Amino acid sequence: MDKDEIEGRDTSKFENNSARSISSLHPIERKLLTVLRLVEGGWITESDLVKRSELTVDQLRRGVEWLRYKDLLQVMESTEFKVYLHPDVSDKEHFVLPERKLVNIVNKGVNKLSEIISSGEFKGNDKEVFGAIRFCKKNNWISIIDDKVTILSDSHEASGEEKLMSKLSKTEPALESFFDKEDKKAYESLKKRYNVLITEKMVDKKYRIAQTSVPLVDSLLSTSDKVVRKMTQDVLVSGKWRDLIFEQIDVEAPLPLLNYGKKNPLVDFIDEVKEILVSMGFSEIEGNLTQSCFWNFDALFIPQDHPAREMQDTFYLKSETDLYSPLPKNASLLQHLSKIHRENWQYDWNIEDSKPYVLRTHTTPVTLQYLSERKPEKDKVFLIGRVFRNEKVTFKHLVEFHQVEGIYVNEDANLRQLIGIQTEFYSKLGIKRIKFWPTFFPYTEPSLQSMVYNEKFDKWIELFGMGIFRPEVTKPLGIKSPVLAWGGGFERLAMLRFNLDDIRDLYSNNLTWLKGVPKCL
Amino acid sequence: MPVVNIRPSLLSRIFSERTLDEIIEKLPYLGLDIEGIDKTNDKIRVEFNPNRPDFSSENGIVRALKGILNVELGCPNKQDPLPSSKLILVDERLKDVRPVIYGLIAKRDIPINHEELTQLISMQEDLHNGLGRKRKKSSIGLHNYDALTFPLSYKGVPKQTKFVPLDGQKESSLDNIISDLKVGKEYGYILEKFDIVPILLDSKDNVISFPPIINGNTTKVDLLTSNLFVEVTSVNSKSAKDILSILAFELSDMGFDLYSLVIDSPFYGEIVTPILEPHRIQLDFDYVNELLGLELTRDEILKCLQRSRCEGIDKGSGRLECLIPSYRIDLFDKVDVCEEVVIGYGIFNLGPLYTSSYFPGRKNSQSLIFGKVREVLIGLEFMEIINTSIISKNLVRDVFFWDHSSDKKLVSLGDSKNTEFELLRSSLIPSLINTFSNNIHEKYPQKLFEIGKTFFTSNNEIRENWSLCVSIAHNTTDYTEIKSNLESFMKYCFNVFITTPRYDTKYFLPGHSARIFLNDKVIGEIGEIHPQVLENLNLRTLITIFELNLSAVIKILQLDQIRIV
Repeated sequence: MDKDEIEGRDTSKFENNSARSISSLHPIERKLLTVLRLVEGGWITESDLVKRSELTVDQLRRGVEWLRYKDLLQVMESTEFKVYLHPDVSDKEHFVLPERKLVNIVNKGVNKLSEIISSGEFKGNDKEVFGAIRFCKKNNWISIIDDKVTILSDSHEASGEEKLMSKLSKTEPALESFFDKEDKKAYESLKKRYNVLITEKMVDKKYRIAQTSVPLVDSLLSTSDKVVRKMTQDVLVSGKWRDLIFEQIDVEAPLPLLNYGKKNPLVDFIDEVKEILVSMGFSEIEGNLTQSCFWNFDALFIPQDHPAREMQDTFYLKSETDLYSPLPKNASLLQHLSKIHRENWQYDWNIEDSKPYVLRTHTTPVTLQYLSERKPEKDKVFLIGRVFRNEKVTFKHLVEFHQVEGIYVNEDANLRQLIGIQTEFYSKLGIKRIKFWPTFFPYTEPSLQSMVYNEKFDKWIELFGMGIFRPEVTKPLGIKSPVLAWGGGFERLAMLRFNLDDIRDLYSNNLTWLKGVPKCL
Repeated sequence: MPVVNIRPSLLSRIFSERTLDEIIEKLPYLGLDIEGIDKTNDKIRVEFNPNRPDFSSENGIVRALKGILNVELGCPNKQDPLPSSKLILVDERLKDVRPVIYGLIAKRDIPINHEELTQLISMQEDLHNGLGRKRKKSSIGLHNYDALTFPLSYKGVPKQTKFVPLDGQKESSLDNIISDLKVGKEYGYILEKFDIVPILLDSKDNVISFPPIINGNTTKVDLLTSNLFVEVTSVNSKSAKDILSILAFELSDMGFDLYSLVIDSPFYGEIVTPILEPHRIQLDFDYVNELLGLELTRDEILKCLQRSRCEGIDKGSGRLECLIPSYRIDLFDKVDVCEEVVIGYGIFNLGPLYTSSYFPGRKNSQSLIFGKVREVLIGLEFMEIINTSIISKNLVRDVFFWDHSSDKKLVSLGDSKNTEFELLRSSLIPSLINTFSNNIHEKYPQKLFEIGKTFFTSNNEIRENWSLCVSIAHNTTDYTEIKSNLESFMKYCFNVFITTPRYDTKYFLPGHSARIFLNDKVIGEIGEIHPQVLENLNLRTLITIFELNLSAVIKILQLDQIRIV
């Protein structure tokens, strides 16, 4: 947590920090200043500062920015050369420079130039020998008369080059700026030779406390025993807080978002729509997702040979043990229905075809069972529940989705009231422009479909269907009053609400999306 | 829904006083859905509802448009078919096979043109698929009248009978036609269980049709044909009558003179077809106004019916008789008449009415309880997800290892177009774990819950329960954490304590799972998900979970009667 807070600090915010206050310090600033104050000679490199302050490079750089802004810190950029031995040289245990090699050979008694060149050490490399001669002469190690080499006493001394190399072999890479006069001369000489030294350019930053601010920094740091980072219970209870100064904390940095419990957006929207329906006087009902063909089709005046009942549209259910959906106990209902089907559709209604279980293709079988049980003279009920279609899943089709459905029963219920109910419902959803077209459902007459105008897409969208239940549907259930019914897919509404182009997103359970949908939308 | 093409040029010609846009605007008010308008190719594609097979042709739509555009009102004018005294004899052996044949003759001077032939064939297809129930119930044969000689005989014959089928070169037996031709393979099943099958012969014993499979070749209709013989064979008279009526009006609109035929049937004697008399529905004028919420005068109602191409007669004392042209097979009850009135009136003219009766709306107790359950879980920082009730066998196998003892109780789908939808879930656990595996790149800890239905069978019936599944995923979650959440939930939501005796199943880590009991009844299970399950779903973090049968909890605690006070 601590780290998050520090790292989350946004330095750009300081630009308009009116306080520019330096009455107290951020912990990073405090650490930096404490180190800087103790540096001899004032300047310290960034790498040293990292080491001594025990901050990360990122923290250090941010701290430096803050301090610079407060004029407490000076920065100097410097270029430095790091020098070390080439691996060819440093890896060989007894490497010697050619001039020393020459002296050694002569000391062994080989003193003719031609013999030196052909010796095992130089292996006929005359260029190397002549180079060695040049350096020996410069060092005043030898003299040559005719083709004979004579050793001089200076050859017992190490040359400047040899001294530098031995220094470099013992120490870490050296910085050029620390070389003395002799070293520098030797460095210039060795630099020209092939594969002896490596030089790397380094740009380093150096920091020191701004000279004019030294007294201020001293006073800021001197209060350190009175400065605490956080309020604690101890500090509160003991009353110490009266004597303490509290560190300035970053009050602007964005912080990590918390875990959060939340209703699913679709469920939340369903609840919202339920509230609207309840406010319009509708009461909620509920029923099974698995239904008999009887309630899903037959009771809705859909003939048994109707194409909608085929496997390709409807999910029929099976099990390792046989399944028989319970049909209504009410024998007169079955008889009445059988007669209506036979007379209107001219086929022999078969009770066996009513028994298979299906996943309900709409919520209406639940409504019908409610009507059949209660036989209300007047009522107003709704449900929002899942329905199923055996379709290929695409961006606009789901196999399992929700439907909202409502009915209004009353002896004087009429088509214009149905338009009134839809108009009121849509208006509560914020939809103002609606139009109605005739359509067809097997179980309602007259039947309408509603089109609503969507401003975002600038087009008319087909929403709910509606109608008055046919007498062929209501009479067998024992309902005498007209039943106004309306309903349709809920997800289409949800897509408008959540601005989705792909209906599958509603069920993806992608946590980023779930958290991202604002509660107030 | 079926689709039909209309030519904008035709509409502009017929309704010359209106702009094309005005005409097109009216189409939805006939119940037609405009699919697309392609003026360059002179085509408007519209979808029509299956209850209006008369809309399966351009002429049928024009007929209706003429009404609502006040160009022609009332039942469409058509001459009664002229008697021809041509005869079709029906064979008694077809009683259980396909007993009904209806027919008509249509004559005109000019041969049928390409446009008309295309329309007729497309209409025939639509009628076959819809009213004809893919030819099972009824099928249509169009023939060149001049290529056959009456009387015809509609006969039952064995499948060895031979003839030259439409577009065929040589004779084939009916058996071979069923087994070899494309139409035979598609529709042959209709005759599968019969030894005797129908054919239609002319007086010279030429086979002109083998219903419902294919016509004979001799009576093929082409662009030289100007006189047509149309037959409809069917399993019942109503269907044959309906389909022939629709065709009769279509041919009449194309300018053909219709001639009737006599059908001599052993089942219902001699009848003359086509039967084009309008049918009649009686109702009260008041009923129309009551159902629609309007206050129309009688004259207005009669006018509205005329605009819908019907006819109303004021029978006095408030009674209305509605005459319906025989092609309007979708109208058979007084509510259907009301819809015709409102279409004639114009649905855009219907203002909303607001009901004044008081109803105390309320959510049901289950919604209220689930709302509270959600609230408690949200307080415990759980995120709600929703999964489908239908899941895949693979997922069940991966999570539950096909525990065969419960297998028998599973409910599966007979047929599915998607492999991920095969079973009704008996537990929410597999889908919830799957949700974690779909979110492995999201921040942890993840705390999820779902409320959903579960399904199992009992005594050959399906039972449904509401279930609650709650789960935690992060690197150190353990039994203690999930049980602490379970106990908190039960305490804060219901103020009850549960017991959790040890219980091992395959999908929990051995020794780290239990059953949940409330008042000595099992209401669920809890545990740490078995590492093999996590591996199966490519999960690299630990998961703990509990599932509760909410329906059982509601029952045990008698929560279904929520009392406010």
